[in-house]
Amino acid sequence: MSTQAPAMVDYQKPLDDVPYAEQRAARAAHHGEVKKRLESIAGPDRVSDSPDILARYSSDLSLEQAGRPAFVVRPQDTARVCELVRFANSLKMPVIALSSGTHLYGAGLARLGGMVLDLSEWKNIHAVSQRNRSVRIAPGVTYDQLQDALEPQGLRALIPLLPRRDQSVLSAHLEAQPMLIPEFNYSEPVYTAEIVLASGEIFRTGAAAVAPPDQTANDMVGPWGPGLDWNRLLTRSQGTLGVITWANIMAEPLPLRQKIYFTPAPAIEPLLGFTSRVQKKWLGYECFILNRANLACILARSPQEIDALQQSLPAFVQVFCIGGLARFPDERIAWQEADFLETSQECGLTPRTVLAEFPRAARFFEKNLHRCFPGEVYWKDARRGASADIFFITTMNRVPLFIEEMQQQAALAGYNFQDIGIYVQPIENGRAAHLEFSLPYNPADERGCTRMRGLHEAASRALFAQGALFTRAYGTWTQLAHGCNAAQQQTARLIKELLDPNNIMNPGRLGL
Amino acid sequence: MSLPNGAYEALANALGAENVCDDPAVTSGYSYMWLAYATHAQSGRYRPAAVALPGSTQDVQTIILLANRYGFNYIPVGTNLFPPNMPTRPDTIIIDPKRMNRILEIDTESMYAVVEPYVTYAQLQAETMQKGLTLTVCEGGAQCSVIANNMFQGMGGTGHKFGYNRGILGCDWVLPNGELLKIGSRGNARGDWFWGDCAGLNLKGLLRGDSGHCGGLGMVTAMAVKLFPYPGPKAFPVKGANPDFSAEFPADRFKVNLIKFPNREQLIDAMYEIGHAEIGVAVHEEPASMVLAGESPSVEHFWEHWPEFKKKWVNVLSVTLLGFSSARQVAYEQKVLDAIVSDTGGEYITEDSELWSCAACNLGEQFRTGGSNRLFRIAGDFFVMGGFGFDSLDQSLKMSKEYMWPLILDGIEKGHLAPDDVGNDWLNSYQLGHFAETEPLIYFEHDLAAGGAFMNGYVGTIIEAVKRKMTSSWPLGPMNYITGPAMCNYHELVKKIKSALDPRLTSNPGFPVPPEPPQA
Amino acid sequence: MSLEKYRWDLVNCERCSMCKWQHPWSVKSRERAMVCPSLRKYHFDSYSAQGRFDLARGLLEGEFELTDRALEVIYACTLCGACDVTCKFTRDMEPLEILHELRKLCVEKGKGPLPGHMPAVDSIRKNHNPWLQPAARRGHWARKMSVKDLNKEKAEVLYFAGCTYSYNANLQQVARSTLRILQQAGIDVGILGSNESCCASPIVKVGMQDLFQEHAAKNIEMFNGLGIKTIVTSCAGCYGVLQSQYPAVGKMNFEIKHSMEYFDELVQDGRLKFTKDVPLKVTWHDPCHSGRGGEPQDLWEGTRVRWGLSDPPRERNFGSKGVFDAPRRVLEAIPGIELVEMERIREFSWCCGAGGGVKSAYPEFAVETARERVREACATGAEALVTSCPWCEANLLDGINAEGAALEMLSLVELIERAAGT
Ligand SMILES: Cc1cc2nc3c(=O)[nH]c(=O)nc-3n(C[C@H](O)[C@H](O)[C@H](O)COP(=O)(O)OP(=O)(O)OC[C@H]3O[C@@H](n4cnc5c(N)ncnc54)[C@H](O)[C@@H]3O)c2cc1C
Ligand code: SF4
Ligand code: SF4
Repeated sequence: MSTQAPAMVDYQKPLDDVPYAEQRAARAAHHGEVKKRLESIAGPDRVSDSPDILARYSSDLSLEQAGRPAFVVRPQDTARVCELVRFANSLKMPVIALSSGTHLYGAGLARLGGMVLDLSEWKNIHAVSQRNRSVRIAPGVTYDQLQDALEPQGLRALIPLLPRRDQSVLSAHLEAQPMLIPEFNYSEPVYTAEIVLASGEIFRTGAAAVAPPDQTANDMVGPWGPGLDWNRLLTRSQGTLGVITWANIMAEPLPLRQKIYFTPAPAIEPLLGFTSRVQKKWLGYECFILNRANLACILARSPQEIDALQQSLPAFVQVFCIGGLARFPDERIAWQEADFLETSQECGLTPRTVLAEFPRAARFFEKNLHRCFPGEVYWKDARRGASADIFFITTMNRVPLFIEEMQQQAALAGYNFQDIGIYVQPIENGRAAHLEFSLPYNPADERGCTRMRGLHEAASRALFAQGALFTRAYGTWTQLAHGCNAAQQQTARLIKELLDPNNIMNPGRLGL
Repeated sequence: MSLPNGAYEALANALGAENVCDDPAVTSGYSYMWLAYATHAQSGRYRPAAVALPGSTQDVQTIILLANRYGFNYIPVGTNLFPPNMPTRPDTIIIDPKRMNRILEIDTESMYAVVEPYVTYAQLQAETMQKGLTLTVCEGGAQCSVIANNMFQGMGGTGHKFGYNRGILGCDWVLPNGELLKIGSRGNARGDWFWGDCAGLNLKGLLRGDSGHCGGLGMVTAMAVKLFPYPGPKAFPVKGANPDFSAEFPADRFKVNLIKFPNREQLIDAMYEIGHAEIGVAVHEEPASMVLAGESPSVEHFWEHWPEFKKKWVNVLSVTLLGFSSARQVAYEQKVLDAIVSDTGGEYITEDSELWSCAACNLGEQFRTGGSNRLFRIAGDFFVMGGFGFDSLDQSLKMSKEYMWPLILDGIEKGHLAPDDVGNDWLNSYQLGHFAETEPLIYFEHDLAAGGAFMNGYVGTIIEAVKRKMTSSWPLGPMNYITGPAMCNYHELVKKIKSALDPRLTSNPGFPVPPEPPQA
Repeated sequence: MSLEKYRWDLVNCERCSMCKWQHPWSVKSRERAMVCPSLRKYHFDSYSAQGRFDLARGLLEGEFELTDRALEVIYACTLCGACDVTCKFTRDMEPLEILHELRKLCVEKGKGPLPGHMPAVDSIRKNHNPWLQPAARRGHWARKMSVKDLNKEKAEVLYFAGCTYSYNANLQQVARSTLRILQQAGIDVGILGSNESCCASPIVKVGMQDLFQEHAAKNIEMFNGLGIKTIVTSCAGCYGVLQSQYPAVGKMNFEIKHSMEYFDELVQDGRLKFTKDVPLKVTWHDPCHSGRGGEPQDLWEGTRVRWGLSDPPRERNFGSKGVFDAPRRVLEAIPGIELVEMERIREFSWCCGAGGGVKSAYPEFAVETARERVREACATGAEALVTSCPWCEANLLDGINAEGAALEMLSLVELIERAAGT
């Protein structure tokens, strides 16, 4: 089997055509050979090309075009990942690594075929260091699993808003999903990581570079280098640079007590101003704003309840949590509470410990703020079965402008704006915000999907034009982003070519 | 010290004759500095071929395009304090950004400032303080360029709260191929400055690593940097006159604590506890030599007081508390600190003691470094014993004790290093103690023998570090050939990136990694 | 080469750049952080103390020759001494002495002073003043005043008018007023009239050490012979050179005071009283040579030994003990005056731009520097810029005119006169 493409095609010379039957046989033989080799590396029960399994990996919860891999491989360990990648590289076969059970944004779809490396079974929590506030995890570790392991040690993981139960913690961090706590010092939570490069070689970042975990004399919490800033380069790279096999991430002190405040408001502006001020004062832990559509989906006990509940809720609510740490927990809560309430007075707002319109909210968040969404149907899917999300980074003061734009786009598409979930997550103490619109739709309704695709694309374009920063560049957002930064695209390609000359690592993502 | 034919004229035509100069009277001003003699001979043989003063990003692009076209090298600098800025090849020009000295924007809402390369920390902070904001100022001094320092180290007194290497946001970066790469939100439809991460592959990761590329990957012509809330007076509260200044911040919001420990292990325990309790803005072990130098108006004063002072100032931790929100915060944090000090066996240096008065500038220095260059006063030259890496607090102590101090004591015994044998470091907690770094400071005379000994020691610590499977940051230039093979061969990747972005190797050619390993 | 004495300094300059800026803690804005006028104008580092150190080191090591550009680097500097203050905060070095040495070197090599300096130099040689005026007319400013002639009589105090106040018709009033106030306060004061001779500051500033020595020695001999206790001058230039350069030439058996100090003493002990309101918002410009340059210099001869210690130990002047408080106290004592400060004051004062032979050799640079100061003054909201140095006054006035600023240029003594109602 030749892996080398001919250097130049001779257009003069007619090709000796091969009979079709032979072609098919050769193709099947090739597939069989590849499979055999994959099986010899990973083990026969760990390689699959059965249509039903491949189908499961061919689409996800996004509106992105499906992409069917040729194989799904579930390697047991890093050594095998290296070998698999080396083999794939020799064939120029795409490699798409997956860590989570559910995939949301199309980044894990094998658009150009190839092999999916499913690491979601890698559920090892390798090491927890209470002293260094770190935990080293395998790609398949999920949030509830991790919190269960950390809490007895007085720690907790940084968590996004009520994630899915099979959400990989590692990919949440690598994708830089916004975490609920805007504390600046938690904002880049990956200390070090191990990555299998396209060459099949292992590379480790930061203080982990000097030796593998079982040999190192380091605590592997120094995030910088070696040489360049690999953690940053890897973050949000969507598997285009290699396969991450573990990451050592921040684990933060678990508050002994916490107090949650809900601040309702009929419009978002006052809450944005209030949130900015609170954040500049460096107060509290979890802090975010939800509109009533999102809150209803989160709090409703069944999808049928959503609409009615939504009617009764305030338009926007800021959720704010103060935590008391090991030393003088009550006093910590007390001073922060006093300052928080004073600030709310200045802003003319009234935070309450109970959301009057829905008293159960307090208990819900008290219980679930550090956890995956507990319901059977995921909250974003509850209304229509699926949700098309549009999220990006902006500054706090520009949030209303984007909401207005979204409203216009919804109106143009004849979509009910009231159904759109709005989530504002301040980041880095309110220096910026993650703004997320969730547009529920019915995935079974084909025409509805097409309409949603249209709205999603049009709204993304309009929001982009207003300055939305799509740092997590999924789908069309990549083209939008590159469209006005040609040097970025060129340079990214240069880097990609260096690290992955055959472009086997999740090819096509990020426009690479 | 010569440029290829036609190059000088092209530069002069592009920038204006008054903005380029190759006269030795001018180029000599870029030929000499501390430490450089240790790697370069002690002579002006290393004068740049010319110095260029761009006035804009376009000017910088032009210079870099000309460098590629005519085949000469360039080194971008800020205020030019950093030894790798010394040209080692005769056909190298310095890009001096003196004319690019504007603060383009200060956004109080989203807390960032946009600066050009010749804006210093003191300048920027003077403006941001007026608006209730601050930033962490490097220990190299507030007279350093904000951009240059962020491109290199970017770590300062308040790193415990304001982080290290976390300050860079949107940037305009002229690559060594002359292309203008917009980093972070600069690449969005509005060309915003507020965010540092790019859409798509995050090329901010190339901008710098643990020690930056030392001008080896083009020049950043504008940078947005993060600002942080600052509840202090609008003007820096300086009192006194040269050479004795003090800073008087409002006591209910700003509080410095100096705590003595029986040993460094207990000091580190306290640092961990402080991190876990999430209190403080500046937390570091401070060595006696640094504190005394900070207070010394002359070298004579230093050495007169050293014998006594070094006995008294041992294992001292400095903890600065700041009430971002209110005085309540300081009161609470002080209570927590008291408990930690008591649990870890520390003892406060009281404000009425003689030792306290020796650290009078401590609080001011945390916010705006003014006196750090007094470290040169001790012996003429100074540096940090190399080979330290960013990792945990425990790890910092281990590195310091296991291989750095034995090498330092050896240097003192041989008479190469000034006799600071206390064994304390400038040991810093970053980001609430999530990670740390330790700098054993050494002082030596500005001559070849001492410099050579220092250099051997520095390289020695790097070799020791990797031998012990400990991380080693800041291997500069050729030293990457020691660390690289021990650290996943990162140097090969960096080299590839350098040659992809700078195929003619025109941008400070030996950095970040020289194309060939050093001869010896 | 006398630069040899400073080899340690030259080799040990680490390039920290402190000499280019105010001390970081004193910086109040981006705009006015810099202290070195020369660097501000010419941009290349060579036009700062740091770069001039490098130039000096290169010349000392014989690495290159004195080019024309080198002459510009050396002479396009106002010798304002701001770098001396800021460098000394961190290092034990003598930038100002080194800047002087560089000029001496130029003269030694026959390349200095510059053609622009020569009319003044020749005039000092010939007329004992740099203004090309006949020596005989030097005392004319006081011809209508009744004052002791110290060539013939004795007095406790010599009022040394200096060349500019003696000859410049726009500024003579300052000398007259000063004298009048001293007399009215009952001070036993006299003048030298046409026998007064240039303090030789312009000569020493351009590096003509031998001529200066000769001139200064004569002056010292004459002053010593007068039996005076004190020399009072209103010129910061004269004051500075008498304070910092004369002691190296010869012993002086009298003290030197700037008129500002004298006025201050008179106000403090009640001999000078202000009876009239002067409703004016003013800002004070500290002249370099009475301010940071007004602090006497230790006449040190020695070497640098281990760790750079000076042997014998050297006392250093940090520039903060010059005449700073006296004029401020006087201004504050004047009813109606509101004193507002500029950003760069006292030891970090921004130079007017005229010093070091710059006004004659680089007039544009001089005016640009003055304009910078005028803008700084305007930013305070002051109506008047006050100082007490004829060089500063004249050059700042050029700056005011060039800027078209609505700012009055005043000498301290003018305000005193208005307030004292004399
Ligand atoms: C006493 C002392 C203590 C120090 N302590 C600290 C400390 O605690 N923390 C710290 O951060 N630093 C520290 N340093 C180092 C010092 O901060 C750096 O040397 C600092 O960057 C100097 O600033 P600069 O403006 O002179 O930079 P320069 O020396 O001009 O530049 C630094 C590097 O960045 C490159 N560079 C400059 N400008 C650009 C640009 N626009 N684009 C691309 N590359 C560029 C240069 O080529 C050079 O390699 C210390 C130095 C001293 C002398
Ligand atoms: S301040 Fe002094 S030591 Fe520093 S650069 Fe200037 S002249 Fe050199
Ligand atoms: S004397 Fe004044 S002008 Fe000359 S270098 Fe020093 S600060 Fe600059």
